[in-house]
Amino acid sequence: MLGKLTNKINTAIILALLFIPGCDCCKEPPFEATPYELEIPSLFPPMDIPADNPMTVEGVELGRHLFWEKGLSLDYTISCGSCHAPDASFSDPDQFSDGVNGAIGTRNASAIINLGWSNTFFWDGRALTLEDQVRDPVEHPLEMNVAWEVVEDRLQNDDFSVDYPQMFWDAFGEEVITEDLAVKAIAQFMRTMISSDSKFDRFKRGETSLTDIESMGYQLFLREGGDPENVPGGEFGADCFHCHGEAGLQFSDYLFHNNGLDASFENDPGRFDVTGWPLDSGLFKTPTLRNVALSAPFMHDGRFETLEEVIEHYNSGGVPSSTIDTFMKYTTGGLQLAPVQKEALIAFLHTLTDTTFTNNPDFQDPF
Amino acid sequence: MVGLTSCWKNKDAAQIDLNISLLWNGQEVSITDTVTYQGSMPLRLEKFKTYIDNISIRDTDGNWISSGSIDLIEFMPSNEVTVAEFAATEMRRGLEIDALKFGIGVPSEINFMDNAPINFDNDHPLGVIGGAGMYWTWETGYIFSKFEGKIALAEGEDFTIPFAFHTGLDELYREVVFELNSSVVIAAEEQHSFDITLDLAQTISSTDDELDLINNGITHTLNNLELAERYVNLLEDAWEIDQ
Repeated sequence: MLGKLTNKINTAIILALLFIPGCDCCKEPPFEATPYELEIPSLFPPMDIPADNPMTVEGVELGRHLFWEKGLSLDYTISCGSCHAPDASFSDPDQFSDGVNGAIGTRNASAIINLGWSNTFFWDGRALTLEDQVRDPVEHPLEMNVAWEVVEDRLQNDDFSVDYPQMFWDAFGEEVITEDLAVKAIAQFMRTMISSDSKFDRFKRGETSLTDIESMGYQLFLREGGDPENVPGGEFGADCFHCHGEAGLQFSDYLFHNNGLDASFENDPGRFDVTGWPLDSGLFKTPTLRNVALSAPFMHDGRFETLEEVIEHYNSGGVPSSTIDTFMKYTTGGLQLAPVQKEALIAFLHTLTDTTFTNNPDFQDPF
Repeated sequence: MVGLTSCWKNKDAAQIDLNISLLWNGQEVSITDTVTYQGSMPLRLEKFKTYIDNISIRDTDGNWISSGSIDLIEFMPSNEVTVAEFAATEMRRGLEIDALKFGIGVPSEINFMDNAPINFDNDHPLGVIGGAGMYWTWETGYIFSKFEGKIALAEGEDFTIPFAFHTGLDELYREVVFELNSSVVIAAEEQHSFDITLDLAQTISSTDDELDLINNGITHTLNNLELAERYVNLLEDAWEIDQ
């Protein structure tokens, strides 16, 4: 009897020794995510990746799932992807987006495209990092309208079709799911959403050529607007390049302008709401023109449904106001483009369409 | 007047800060202020932005020493500080200087580099983000400086007449030289400040030339080269050092 007891005690000691902390054979494998090799297209600038959010394969994959996860909205009805549809270059084809509980937004949801190169986000530039941009819509009362604490709890404890606690562990080596980690993952995913395979990209790389009418549109794009009889230096161009410059092939100057949509800005002061600076009243961020042919409607409030309407707006010179951009031709009769010039301009804008980007399986809904 | 804190990167070097303020006919102004044009017309100052290139100092033997600096300053809305560092090797024992200068623009070798902005870090003054809105892509390379505003024809009327000077091209690069009233010793591990003013009124009117902002007040350089050239000549002479 005593012998059996001694044997049991010896066995217990041996088992206990096996599980003493520090015993190498029993350690959990160290957390090690796989670095994500982001490929920067030729003729593009470098992309700044925040030091506290290095990209990993696991982080990007988690971000993709969270981007499409409807559990990030109050009533589980909408995800980021609900207002950023792939076919519309990850923008909303509706003028204003539907939030939860029948709420309607007040601005058109912008295209998500090459945002890794941007330094301000939203039409008014109120977010200065992609992470902060991601943070905003979840709690916004007109969008997903749910507290991040609730989202954290859901992701940690609810029964989703994927194992989020495991995915967060794989991405960040953290067992506790936090808002900060969730926005980091989505931002990682969004940094992978790079468009660089439009016809214009291939033209710049010397892989194809533009048709005559596309080429004519490109020249108009780069040329000064206005009749030289009325506008000193006018070249009968379309004047697009001032704000949609080609630097780094992003077709945005990353600045804010009043492009002459309205005479006053009570409805939406735009950038002024962020800076409080009177000269920022009615200014909105210059959107990229990449995939512009896919991302209707246009302008911050989605007032124009077609590219033709957009061209006509600029052709008119815009509505004068206290902050209208000095390069709108509002005092000199507009651009005065001929019909064939408008047609050429639109043909050029179509060369910025990149369906390789919109169809990329890595960006689609995984559920 | 709001000063910006400069970033002294290399404490072994000598650092020179240029504290730049805007004037209109000798009176301190800020961007967004309304001033008077041609005696009666309200003129609203909306933007002044320029590259300040290669701040250099001249020793009393007449030798120029370059910092190689380049900065993009924008008045948002009042004064700006731009900084240059001079290597300690040049300055260890102190260097007596009697002049300083800088360029308005971007050096030629960079200006016409292929796809220039992508060769710099994004937040560099010449990069895609740091130099946002300051690159033309085709033909003229970088925009060296921007001055924009609007004029109302009479007091109480709307600001309906825009003016804008966007300058570029190597031939419109200008150097501003300040002869100091009394020499100054610049030494390693020391920081020196000079107060500089830019009188915007003098960029459109001086005893040498007067621009007509109402009828001919817009240039992007190539589309109105004659006006751009007249403007940069006035701009070159509109700076003063307060010493």
